[in-house]
Amino acid sequence: MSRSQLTRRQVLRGLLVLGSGTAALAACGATPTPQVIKEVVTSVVEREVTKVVEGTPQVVKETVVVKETQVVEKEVTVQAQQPQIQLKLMSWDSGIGDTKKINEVTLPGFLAATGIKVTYEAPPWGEYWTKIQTLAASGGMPDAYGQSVAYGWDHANKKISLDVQPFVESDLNQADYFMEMELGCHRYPSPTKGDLYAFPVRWVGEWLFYNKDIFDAAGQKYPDDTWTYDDMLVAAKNLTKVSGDKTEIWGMQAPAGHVGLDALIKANGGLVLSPDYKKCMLDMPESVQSIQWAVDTILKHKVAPSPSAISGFTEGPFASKVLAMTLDGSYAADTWKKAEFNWDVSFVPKGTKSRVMYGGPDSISIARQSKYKEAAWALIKYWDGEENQMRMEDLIIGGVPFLKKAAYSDKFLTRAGNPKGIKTILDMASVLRGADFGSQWMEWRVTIMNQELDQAYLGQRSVEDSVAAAVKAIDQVLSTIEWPV
Amino acid sequence: MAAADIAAPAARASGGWRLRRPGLAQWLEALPFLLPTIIGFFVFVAGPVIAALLLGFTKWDLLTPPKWIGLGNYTQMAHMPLFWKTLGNTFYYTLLYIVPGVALPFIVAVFMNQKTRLISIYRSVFFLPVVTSTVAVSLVWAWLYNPEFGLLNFFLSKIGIKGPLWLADPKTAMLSIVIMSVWKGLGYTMVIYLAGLQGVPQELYEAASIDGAGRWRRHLSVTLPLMTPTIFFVAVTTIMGSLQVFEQTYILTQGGPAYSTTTLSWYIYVQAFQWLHMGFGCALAYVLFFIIMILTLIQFRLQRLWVFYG
Repeated sequence: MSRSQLTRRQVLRGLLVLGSGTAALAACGATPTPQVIKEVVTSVVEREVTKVVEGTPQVVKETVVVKETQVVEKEVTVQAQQPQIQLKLMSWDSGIGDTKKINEVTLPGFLAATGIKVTYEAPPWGEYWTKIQTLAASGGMPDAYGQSVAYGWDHANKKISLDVQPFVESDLNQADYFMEMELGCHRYPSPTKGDLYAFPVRWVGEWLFYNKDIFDAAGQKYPDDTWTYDDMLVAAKNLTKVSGDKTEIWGMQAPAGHVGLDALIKANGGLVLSPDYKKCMLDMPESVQSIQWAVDTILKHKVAPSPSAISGFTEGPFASKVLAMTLDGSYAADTWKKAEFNWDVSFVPKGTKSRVMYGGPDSISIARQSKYKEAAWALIKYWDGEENQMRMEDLIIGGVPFLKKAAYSDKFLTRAGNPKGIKTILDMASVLRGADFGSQWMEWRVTIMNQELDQAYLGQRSVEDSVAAAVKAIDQVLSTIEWPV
Repeated sequence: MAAADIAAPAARASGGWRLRRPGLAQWLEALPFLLPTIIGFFVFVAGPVIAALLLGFTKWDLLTPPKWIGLGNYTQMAHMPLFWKTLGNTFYYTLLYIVPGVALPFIVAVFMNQKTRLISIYRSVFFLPVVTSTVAVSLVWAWLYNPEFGLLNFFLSKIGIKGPLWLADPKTAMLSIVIMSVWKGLGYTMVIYLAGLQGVPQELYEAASIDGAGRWRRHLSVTLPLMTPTIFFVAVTTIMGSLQVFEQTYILTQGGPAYSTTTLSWYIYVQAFQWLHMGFGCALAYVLFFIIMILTLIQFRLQRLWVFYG
């Protein structure tokens, strides 16, 4: 090694000195030190001046007022400022409102009202839930976060979300809100009597969407609040148009999935899960008959497209103008608001026992890990307050404010883009029932139940066999859940 | 055999100094250079592999501490009809894929193994799907497979055939995925075969020609036997890859319709990352590992019957 090269010892010594110096500087910086600042001071003073009277040798004294400016140096000690509360809010994109409007209107409004700054992040749905679960495991949860019907009960069970019932009871007049709708997805431990672990900011329901052009062409009367599911089937037969071996227009879409099928089952007196969410009840006679009715619309009456045929339409058969009627979530109105055909909405038909409308809230939960729980509740309270609920810029067509005053206001009912039958959703609010959003809902409902019943809809297996397989698989999932005592 | 031992005879032959085995001091000097790789290996490979093995014996949802349940996960999967269906789908995919996945690229490679004009362009064209993102490829094929508006059914209708529902029908969904996968992977396997074909001595072809062997006979008696090691490599890696099929089912069908394309890798993903059954997902992963290991061992055992190493 040459003399000009550094030895290992010299390098280590240098690093040690550098590190110590950096640490010393950091320590110095931590303590407030006096600073000298220059300040411009302007003062008004009276001065006596001597002046010579013009044209004469006379000297007089007079008092004049002058403004004097001087630069003064003074020593000040800058104290470390108390940190301002800053909340972190997350939700899936459009989950609790239009992301842009939330950032431009809602959160600045909250800041102006409370002085609390909120940062908002809204990744896409799939990415959001993965992120939330990872943050929950690592201790980095946002203070408040968008809560979905699919995960609300699970988050309460796994101690991720906070019980907000005390806040609700002390701060809100519950009669002002749609509390009569079923909020089992957010009530814990009991879906019927438990405390709320999220508070809704808006809700969606279910509508019977119908293509007015197809109805007019077939001379079919529009649906109304007297319709039953059998009336719907009769109309569908009239509306279906077949040419050779090809169906050009289908009269209706078979109720399937949690939106259409679950509401049909409950309207006919059946159940999907037991009231405590612990047992699958699809094998009840009323449930089986409801599923059979739905399957028959495809295979027996041939008025509804099969799941395979539906998959051929990228935008869906209703938007493709080959479907006369469909039962769908009210949020679908936001997708179809610019459709190039005339459509409207009506009441969900009545079943043999009652009318049931699928629906559920989009809500905000407070994370148990949050250090600013009261501030997070203040955010929810503001979100559900009259000022914000009446804004509606971030509300999708088909979404309904959770505050009744806002929902029944002219501003909501006359919004641009609303279907003509907008008020039907408010009239059905009292019959809104969720889709048994219990634990592991994505697993047993979205995957297992759909995949098992699909085989009946495709005609590959009888309804009874499909139901038996679904019940067995769903009960197996429910048996692995750690239910609260 | 350490490098020093190999070098030692040469050092002695030169009549000079003698190399010694690396001592502790030399190992300590080499360690800083090896540490990044060693640490990376243990942190990112060995660690997760061991952790997954242990987690397979627990019930863990990421949010609460893991709970030891012994063989509970394995017992549960043995009693799950969906697990057996998933296993069946995985083997079905492999069986459909293996023959075209191994044989078709070989035939294409034989045709590409020529010194003609524009041959490099032809080879590039076959290789293009390999370098294209699987996501993009899957989305395009989803459009091609559309029963109402897809190009495939459109061309079939022109020749009077009513096209199937492809991805929308449980009977044809898996076949549709296999067709796409064969198309996507053909170029990669073709390149491997091309490398093997370049190694076949031309003198053997000349000798066979002199002996009167025609083109077909030359391929059968010269090309094929000498290519068996390459074919064996392709077969082993193709079976390994096909048992782990995931991207295509995830993008195109999400395991449906009616579970017809639910493969083991997709099932591991939804169990672990969508439904947060981490322990169960790890157990499934080890089941897949053991299946691949056993099949590979069988293939290695059987190679003596048909692989010719010259």
